[in-house]
Amino acid sequence: MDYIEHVRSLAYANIESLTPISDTPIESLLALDWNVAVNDEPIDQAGLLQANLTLEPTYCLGRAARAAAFVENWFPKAQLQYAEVLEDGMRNMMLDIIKQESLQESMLIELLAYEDPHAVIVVDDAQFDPISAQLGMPVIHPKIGCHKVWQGFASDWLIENAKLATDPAEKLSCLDQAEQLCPSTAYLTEARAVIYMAMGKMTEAEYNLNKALEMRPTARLLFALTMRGITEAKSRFHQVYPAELFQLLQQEMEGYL
Amino acid sequence: MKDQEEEDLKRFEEIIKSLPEEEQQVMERELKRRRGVTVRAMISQVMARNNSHNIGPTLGGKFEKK
Repeated sequence: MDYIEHVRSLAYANIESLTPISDTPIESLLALDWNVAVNDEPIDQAGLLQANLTLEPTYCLGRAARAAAFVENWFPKAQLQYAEVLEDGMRNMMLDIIKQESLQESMLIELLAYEDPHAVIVVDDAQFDPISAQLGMPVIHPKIGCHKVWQGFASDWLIENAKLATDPAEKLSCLDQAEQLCPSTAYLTEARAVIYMAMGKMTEAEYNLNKALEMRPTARLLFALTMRGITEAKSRFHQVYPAELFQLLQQEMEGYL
Repeated sequence: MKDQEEEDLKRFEEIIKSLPEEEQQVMERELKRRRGVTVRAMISQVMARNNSHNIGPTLGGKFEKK
């Protein structure tokens, strides 16, 4: 399968129904309705996986891919890139709010959600996150990793595809293909860590956890390393996040018993 | 299924106590290995996330939406 063409064709589905209102890509993107929902409940991960495999624009991967198709279709001279979010602007907003306001569990769940893997696009060196259109304010992520546009989306698609496979060797093969298209994304590295953990290959898992942590530090990564007995991870966790978040992740993990 | 697994491990622990000492050590290592498998599976569940990025209720409530 030509993964790049497959992903591109998914992103281009009904693209003619989106028309620009301006001569500039970003203005036109901001004017569109990206149908970003406000979620009061945690999102079902299984349903999200299925949606991502068809690049449904209900979630960020499909939205970002659709935005890329829109720009490529209507503004072919624009410099277009896929961008993996490595430090999330909304996550930082939530951390500030948590420090200033009285803490509720829903805030911690929301914080974790903003630390989940996220993809946006860069057009002529300007970030575009479809959430900006919904919030009515620009959402700029302090740190992103830019890659060739369709290679980036194809890599993400392959990582989602790897989650469907039950055989670890098949999962790792999917990730190897993703790596060839778009080397060394944090999402890919985390996905490898998960597979190695499930296989019991903890040396490989820890190597990938640490590598992912360098690229894209999150509470979940620090928590996983803490569960592996790495005390520096625990102290680093508590430097950034409230203790209640650690307890929440512990409860979440124990819920799988 | 998960409750059953934990029940089985607890029963296993009880059985180990009744064994001769040398056998206990071997079985305790096996018990540790089984619990380790469970912990690994749990950790990988915590890690195995997809990207969604809709807006949560806090930020959704604070900022004007179109």
